[in-house]
Amino acid sequence: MSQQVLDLVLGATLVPLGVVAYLIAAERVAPRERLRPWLWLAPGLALIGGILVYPLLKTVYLSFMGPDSGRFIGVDNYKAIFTDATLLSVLKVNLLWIVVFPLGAVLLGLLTAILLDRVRYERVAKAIITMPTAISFVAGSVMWRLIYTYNPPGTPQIGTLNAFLDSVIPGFVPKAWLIDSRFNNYALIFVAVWMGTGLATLILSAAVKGIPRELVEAARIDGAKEWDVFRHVMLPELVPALAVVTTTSVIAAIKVFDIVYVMTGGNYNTDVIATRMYSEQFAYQNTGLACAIAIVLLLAVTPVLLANRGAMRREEAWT
Amino acid sequence: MKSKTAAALALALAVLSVSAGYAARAGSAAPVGGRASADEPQLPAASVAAATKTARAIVHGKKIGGSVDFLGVVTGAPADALLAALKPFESATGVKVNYEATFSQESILQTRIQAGNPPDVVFSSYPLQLVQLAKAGKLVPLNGVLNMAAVRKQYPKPLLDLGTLNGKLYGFFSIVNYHALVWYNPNKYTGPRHPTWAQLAAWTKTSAGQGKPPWCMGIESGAATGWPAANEVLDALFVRRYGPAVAAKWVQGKLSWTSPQVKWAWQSVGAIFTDPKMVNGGSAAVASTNFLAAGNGMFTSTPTCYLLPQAQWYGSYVPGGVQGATAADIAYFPFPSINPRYKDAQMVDGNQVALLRNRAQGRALVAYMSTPQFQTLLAQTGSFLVPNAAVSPSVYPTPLSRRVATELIASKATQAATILLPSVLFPVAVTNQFFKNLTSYLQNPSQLDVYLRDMDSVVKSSR
Repeated sequence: MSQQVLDLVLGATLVPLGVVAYLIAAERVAPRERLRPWLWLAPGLALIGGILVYPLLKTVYLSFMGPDSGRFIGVDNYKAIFTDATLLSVLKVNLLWIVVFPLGAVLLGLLTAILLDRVRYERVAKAIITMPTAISFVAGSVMWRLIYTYNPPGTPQIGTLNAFLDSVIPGFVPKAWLIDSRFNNYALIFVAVWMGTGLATLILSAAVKGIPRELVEAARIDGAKEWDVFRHVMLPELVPALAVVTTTSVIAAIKVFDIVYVMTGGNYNTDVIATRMYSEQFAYQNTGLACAIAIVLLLAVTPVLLANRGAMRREEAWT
Repeated sequence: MKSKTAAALALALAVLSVSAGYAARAGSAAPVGGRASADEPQLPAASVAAATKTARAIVHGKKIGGSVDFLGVVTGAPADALLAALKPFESATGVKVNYEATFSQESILQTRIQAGNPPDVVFSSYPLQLVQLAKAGKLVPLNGVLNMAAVRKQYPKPLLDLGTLNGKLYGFFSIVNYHALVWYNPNKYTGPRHPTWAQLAAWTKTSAGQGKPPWCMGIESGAATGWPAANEVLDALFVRRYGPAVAAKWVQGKLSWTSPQVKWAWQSVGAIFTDPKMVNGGSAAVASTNFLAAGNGMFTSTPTCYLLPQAQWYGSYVPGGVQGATAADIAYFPFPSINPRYKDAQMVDGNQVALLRNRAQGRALVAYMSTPQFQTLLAQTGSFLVPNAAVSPSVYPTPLSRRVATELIASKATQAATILLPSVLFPVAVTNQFFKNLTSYLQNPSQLDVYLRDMDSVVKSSR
């Protein structure tokens, strides 16, 4: 333990000292203007190279190798992702996430942002809605597992949802929410929506506040109905914020891991790309396929990420 | 939290690691440092003195000092018990044991070896990994380290064989866990107490016909969901009907998963656990019930089920682990015999001790862990079952553990027929897919052939 503390102290002092020493030396040795920025950039570039670029290239390299990285197998891993039946079903489930989760989070976020703008208890309500955002995904998933718990018909229902439905609907047959593949993916996505709506509400609410009052009031004075005010005056103003929220949610949906891992472990046809990547690497020890999945995941996220960055810039420029 | 509940929880965690190390394979990567229970097990002074004497003899009375890195999967209260049994070693030799427990032992061990920083000693629940490490020359042969004559005499040969490569011993089991016992509540269960499979099938059918589902089952276990049905029922049915030799072919990939033998085992499991008359709540309840809660229905005033196939740890879990249940409410019979030739075959898994660095401290620790004196201490903690035949069953603290030790370890017939649990011997990828596909099969019984073909393809690609 003391050794670790010592290492920590040494690291925390020596590393910054080293960087400073390097920069001083660099200033002495190369005062020429052309070289100078590069000398200053070099430590940062080295870090990015070491912890971003190199692992990325290595992952690409490994994705063309066999399970134990020992044998070159070409594009077989990539072929498997798009032909293997179980992997295809993983892609299908992820597609469902990509469509349903942003839809749910954005619509609910927009609804709460607009409705809350009109009530006096806005701050309290917003605090309640954003609260789940503060819970870690794992903790939230554990909570929802308890809510979704299933007990056979005729036995006491200890799962909150089944117990509630059981008491309000006569003759209700308890549902195995996480197991029945007719609705288990929606049950999981709902948990994500529950945790993701808060953030959407915050961003959209800020955007709603940013809409000039005069604009809305002018429309009302001109006799526009509430729906028309929303549709033709507010919504166009909200587009940049909506783009940010939507792309952020799509990225979250593509990368989703914790909820699925904790709640079903990918069983019962709920496996998604990230959980599959995890199990290929750590359960099946197929490094090649895991890396190929990682690359596919990266390629799937990249365009959305670029769109997200663009949307954020526009949003910033706008406000 | 009451300390008893805490202890039970800790036991449950240990169970996850010892009996179903698959959870670790699937990779819940949390290193577990926190102990649920702080109370040190009290060990009889005489045993401690004997163990201290043994440890002193190993180092020839010299305090060699230093420390030894020891990597294991045992956590919580059982880890306290393990460390208590190692105390005499520390005091006699002056060697400090740095014990580190993790649920992802397999990958951590691999990583540390690759990084050139292996632990001195490992307490492994992955026999296949040890064989691979031995082949790669990463393990120190124990022939010069242990008293081999004593070890050969005291440990069951089948278990030693699992740690032997080219005539050299690389690992020995220090803790064992017997699988596929059938647990029941003697105050509620009215069926046969030591039946054959045919007799039990007749009774369960009658019970099902009376609207009383006979079987309890719960296979939910996070990323390792499915193992209870695989390890405690499917493997057991297979071994009881076809015997260890055919099981060996199966684990080596020489018997296909689509073969009639394997298919029969799957169908037999399916016939029970997809039928709401046979198992309470049918397959949805089986899938959504956690393995620790699987048997709770046996202890309610009107039982909802009567028989739970589970490993030997369940007997010590019930008192304290299940609300309202006491030691008098739990009993077992061995998994019923199908083919009488294989009625004694007992499936085990457990933790093997292996040495990775050839240092005096590590050698001494491994030597100490093989002795009956250390094994006696382990047994007396009440947390473990030990395979050393020189440990008398009478040293175990509870009647149930004494009975388990007498019937499973001290029995010559059982000892000779002890085999490793098939699920532990498959390549990791196969085991994981096995659990996953079995779980899916119980939800979609009509897709059996798809799942079995998938198993064959996993076997092919894992080779």
